[in-house]
Amino acid sequence: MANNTRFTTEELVGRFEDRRDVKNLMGKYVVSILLKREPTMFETFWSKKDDICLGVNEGYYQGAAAIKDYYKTIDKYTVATRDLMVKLFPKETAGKTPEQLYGIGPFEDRSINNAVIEIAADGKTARGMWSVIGNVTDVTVRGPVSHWVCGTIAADLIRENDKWKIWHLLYLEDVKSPTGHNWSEGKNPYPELPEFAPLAAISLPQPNVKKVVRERYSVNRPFTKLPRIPEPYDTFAETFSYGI
Amino acid sequence: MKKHLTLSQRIHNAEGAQAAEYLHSSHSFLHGATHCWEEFGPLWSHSDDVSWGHGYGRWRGYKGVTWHMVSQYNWRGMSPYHEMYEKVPEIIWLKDFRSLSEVAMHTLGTDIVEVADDGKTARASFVTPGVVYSALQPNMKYKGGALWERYGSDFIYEDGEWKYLHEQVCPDIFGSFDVINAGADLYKNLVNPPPPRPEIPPEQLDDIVRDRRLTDPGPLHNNYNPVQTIQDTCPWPEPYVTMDNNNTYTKKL
Amino acid sequence: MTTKIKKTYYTEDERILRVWDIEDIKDLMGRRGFYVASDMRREELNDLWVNSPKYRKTASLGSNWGYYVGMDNISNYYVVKHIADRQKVLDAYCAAHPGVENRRENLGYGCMSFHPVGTPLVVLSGDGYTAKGNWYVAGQDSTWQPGGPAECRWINDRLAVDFVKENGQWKIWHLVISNDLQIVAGEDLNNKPTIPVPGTDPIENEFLAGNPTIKMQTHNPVMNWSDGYPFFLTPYFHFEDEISYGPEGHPNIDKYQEK
Repeated sequence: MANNTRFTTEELVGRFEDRRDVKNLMGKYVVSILLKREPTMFETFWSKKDDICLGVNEGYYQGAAAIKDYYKTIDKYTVATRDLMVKLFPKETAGKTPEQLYGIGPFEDRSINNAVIEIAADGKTARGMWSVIGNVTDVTVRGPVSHWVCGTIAADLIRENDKWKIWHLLYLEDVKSPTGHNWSEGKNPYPELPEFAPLAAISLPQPNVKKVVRERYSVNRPFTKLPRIPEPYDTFAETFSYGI
Repeated sequence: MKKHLTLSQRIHNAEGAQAAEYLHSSHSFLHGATHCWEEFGPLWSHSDDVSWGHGYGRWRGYKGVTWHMVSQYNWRGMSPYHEMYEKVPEIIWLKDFRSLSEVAMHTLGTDIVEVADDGKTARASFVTPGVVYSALQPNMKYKGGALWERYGSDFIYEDGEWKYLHEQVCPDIFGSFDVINAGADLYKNLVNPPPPRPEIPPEQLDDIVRDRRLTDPGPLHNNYNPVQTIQDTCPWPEPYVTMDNNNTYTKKL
Repeated sequence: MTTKIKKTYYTEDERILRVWDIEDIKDLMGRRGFYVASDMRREELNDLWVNSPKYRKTASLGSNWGYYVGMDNISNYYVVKHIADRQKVLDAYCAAHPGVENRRENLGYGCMSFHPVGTPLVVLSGDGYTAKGNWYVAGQDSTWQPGGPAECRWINDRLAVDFVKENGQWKIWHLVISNDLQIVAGEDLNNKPTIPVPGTDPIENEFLAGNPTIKMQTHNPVMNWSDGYPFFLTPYFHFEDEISYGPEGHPNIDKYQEK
């Protein structure tokens, strides 16, 4: 809730455009996951700064190498899933190239809303926080299973060559649980399927900074507040960071 | 920042970006209540360039769009009144019967909005997690499903106001709420396909298309299933100078 | 309606400030969503709701079953009663888990609230002093209960809000949380009876247990949206009671007052 009267008309227009661009950036980020664009997501979205990091419930992927490896592994998994689905369903996948079939199987649909966005008064950085509700279908050793996802995204962004880039990103889930079931039961009712056993060979790299950033909801979780909400600020040095 | 535009243009475009969200949210609430005319009367352009599309096809032109989205929809909305009057007589006192058939609440998120440099149009894409339900059914139970879709919308600045121009609805997931598991259920259907639905004879197909008065028969978008290839039917808008066939959700024929 | 708005002309300075007023209001409701998720209800009333005596007196928090009017009444229900309810859950939790200390910091053990706002529809008054907004919430509440999984419930609400500017900051003045739908996680909505057994709606029971200032049915979700409340927004110039989302704006308030 910045004091808008401290800015000139032109500054206010620029700040609105920045705000819209920040919202667009995060929207494109989650839609890119839906469209399985992991091979290009690092180049498209991330800053060139040395201290970039991607935080998840179990820790942080700190630095470019760790984040690139994260997306690369997802890409590898997507290829393996495609190849397995083609093997299982040759009739349904006939006549299409591997490139056309890339991404079949999963469907990671996330809606982000409830945004709070702050643009620094100096215009060099921005921060935002969003709620996430998702219907996320993964293909794992249990086959395709859809999950309800409830979570939070918080990000620091930085302007580079007049474009907004992600500097620090927190993607934290409170709920990721099969749809059609009570998420507090803490169990997956879908059994492992032998035809999907090959997918066990690929797993996401562990965060290189291991830390419990946020426990997922369970009946035994102490009440857990969300990350701090962005507040109006002049320069990044004077505010808190979503990174480490 | 759009420093290649004048300050006046940038202010106009800021209002346009906000109007895109406003118009789509207005649609969500008015559509939820089946208040069709309140949407398609004042909030839409009345030109021949308008279009409304779904997975099964598209209507072009104001006449076609309103035939489906107003005339048919309003009637559908009110039709349960006669069935339900015996069971729930208090409905006679309702302010407006049109919502009796259902609440189709398509909430909006993941908004990506761009306004053309020329200030004449705006474009937006959304992800919409929705629930379509009705409390009033002859069996006196709810009916309802979760419906996840994606939207691509174009807007136009006409006569001093922003208006809806094109809408493309891309349904992805639909099923009973909260029992469906799209991934697992659809996989089961792939492994053990259910009996096929009876095929509609070609001459009847034409009747159905004609009766629907679709100008662009579908399918324009398929629901998710585990062997469906990635669909980017409504790609997010990129910054653009003016609306053309590379920057629209309904290409001109 | 007496506040139909004619096309009003603003300078460019005024236009961009009005754009920002609407964005600030969207942020305000986003903050509220995060405060709710963090169970920061007292902080929400302090930071995000009206503070001046004039508006505190007429502030209201409404639902399908009535309104709490005045910040004291709102606080007694929304904060004090809520803490008491959470304390009861914690008492039962600690009885079942002797290792967990029964202290204030552990309120909410095994619980979660998620009510994010989407579908923003905001109208700023022509005179710039007030605003109105509708949002839709597809959310959930999870509450620990003894002997099994938590009670997890999907909750769909329509929010209808009036805002007023105090010292240059937008504040919530009237808020209606109109519940449309609730379904227990994993149950089939198609089996839910249209007419609920009286006394079994947990949201209704919770709201009425606080003894609302005005007890009246404002919206009946059995009728879908046909009863017309909360009413939809239209552009307006100047705030008047008849368009308020406080009780004075409800179409049936005269019938309630006659009683």
